[in-house]
Amino acid sequence: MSTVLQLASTGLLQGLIYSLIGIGLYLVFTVMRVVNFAHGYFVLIGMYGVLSLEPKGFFPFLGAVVVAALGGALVGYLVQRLLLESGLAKGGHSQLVITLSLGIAIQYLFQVLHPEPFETIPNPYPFEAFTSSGVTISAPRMAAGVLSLVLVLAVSFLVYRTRIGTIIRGCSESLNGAIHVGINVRRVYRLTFALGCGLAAVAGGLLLPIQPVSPALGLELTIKAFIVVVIGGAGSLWGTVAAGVLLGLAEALGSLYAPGTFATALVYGLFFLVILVRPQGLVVRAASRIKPAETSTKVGVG
Amino acid sequence: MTTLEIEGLTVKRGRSEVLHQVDLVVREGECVCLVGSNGAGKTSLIEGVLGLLPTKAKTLSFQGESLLGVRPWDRVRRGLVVVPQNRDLFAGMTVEENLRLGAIAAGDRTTADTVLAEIYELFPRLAERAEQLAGTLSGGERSMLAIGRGLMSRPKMLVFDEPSLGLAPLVVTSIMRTIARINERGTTVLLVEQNVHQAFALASRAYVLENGVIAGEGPTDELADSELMRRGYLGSAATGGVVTT
Repeated sequence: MSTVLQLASTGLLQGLIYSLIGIGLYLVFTVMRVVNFAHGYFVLIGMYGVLSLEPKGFFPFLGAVVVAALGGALVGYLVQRLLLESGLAKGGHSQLVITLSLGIAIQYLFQVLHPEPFETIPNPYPFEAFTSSGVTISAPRMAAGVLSLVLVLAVSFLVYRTRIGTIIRGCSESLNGAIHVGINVRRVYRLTFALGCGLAAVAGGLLLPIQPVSPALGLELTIKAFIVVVIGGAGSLWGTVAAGVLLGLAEALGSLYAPGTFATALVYGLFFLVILVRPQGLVVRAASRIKPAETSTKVGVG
Repeated sequence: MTTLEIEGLTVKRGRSEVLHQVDLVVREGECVCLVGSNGAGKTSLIEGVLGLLPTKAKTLSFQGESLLGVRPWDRVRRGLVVVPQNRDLFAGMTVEENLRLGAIAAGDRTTADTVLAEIYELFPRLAERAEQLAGTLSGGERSMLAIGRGLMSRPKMLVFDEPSLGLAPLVVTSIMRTIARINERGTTVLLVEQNVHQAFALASRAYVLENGVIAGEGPTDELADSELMRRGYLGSAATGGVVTT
């Protein structure tokens, strides 16, 4: 029993990190309808960013995470401004090629800069581990999960309770509608992409003390982020959050019933099943159940 | 004073030029209509004026200031608001959220509540449905919401793109009456319509668009009797059902 509890707690905390990575992708996807294949590589930017700052102690670590997040956001902003904006106006599959190539470029850049695989940093937190009723959680894992949850709540507050969030949701509902009410959609796109990439980078920074980083990790994280967004459904941010937790739990508990890598295969098989049974995702927007949401065809504003 | 001045406007949709050398003027407080059959280029004209399609023009100015090179959303913020043909509502948001978004960028935040109350007075139906999602509204209600959202920023000019499209005759009459009221309250109106009878009843002047060029213009009462209108629209039945395109 305590093994199950142990795995469930670990899975839950890991899942919250997936949720954080997922909502970054979710925002970019629902607002801009851009599928960012480089998303997982922005997590790498956060991981390598913190790694190269070599923080010693708790506050330097938090500082490094903030710096890495801002760095990720800045790179995202520039990517949107310099690469995607012109690609969006041209239409077609340019965004696919751009984000996919960008991810690969980031991977090889880090392979040159950090040829050693599985680099990490020592526990930056002032505690080693928390033990309660037979369950032991290391401090970095606990902190990463809790901070991810706090950030997820902060993002949901931003999206659903603030003026800028209303503007962001407006753009995601109808691009043309947003233009007709005078919203500078180009600026909203830049901010949204920067926010999405920044969130991925924060998650990377928090992940580093628990998961050693290698350049190849980017693809795996991109795929996980996709799974989380697709399983969650396009209806609300909470679907993505729930799906992230579900993925974390499934990964952790899967190892109970199957050995090692087979468990991973099993988890993805399970998600195949979810998609077959519920292709629209877990949470669906109320209005779209009645009528498919209007898709904007005029994207010639870039 | 001239509110909207268009001279030599050419609009491209994709690779083809759909509007050629169009001249059109709307003066302050006027209600002008632009009529034309399906595919004449009415929506292209609106999208060109708003900057959603690539344009060339000798003059394109709003309230005496050039719009050339101005981004679409900035044109809206200057008070040139379009009520689009397909409404472009925020389907997953409530009626009230849709209305409030109408003023979020272009409007004055301090007067938003006052304007909202005015819109609910103009469209009591929207007040009843304030908490309902826009995607669940009927056609007429969606039309009302699009107009209400356009009014939220207290625009100088409203451009209506086929407000009668897809609506029942009774609903059309009520929407047209509302447009007349909006105009009487001081908002300049450009009404773009296929429904010539309704549009002419409302507007003082009209432009007729045919195959991307202005084929005629003038006061609506004079234009209604003209050869052009008889040939193209009004008297097609009387002349043996020949409709020129």
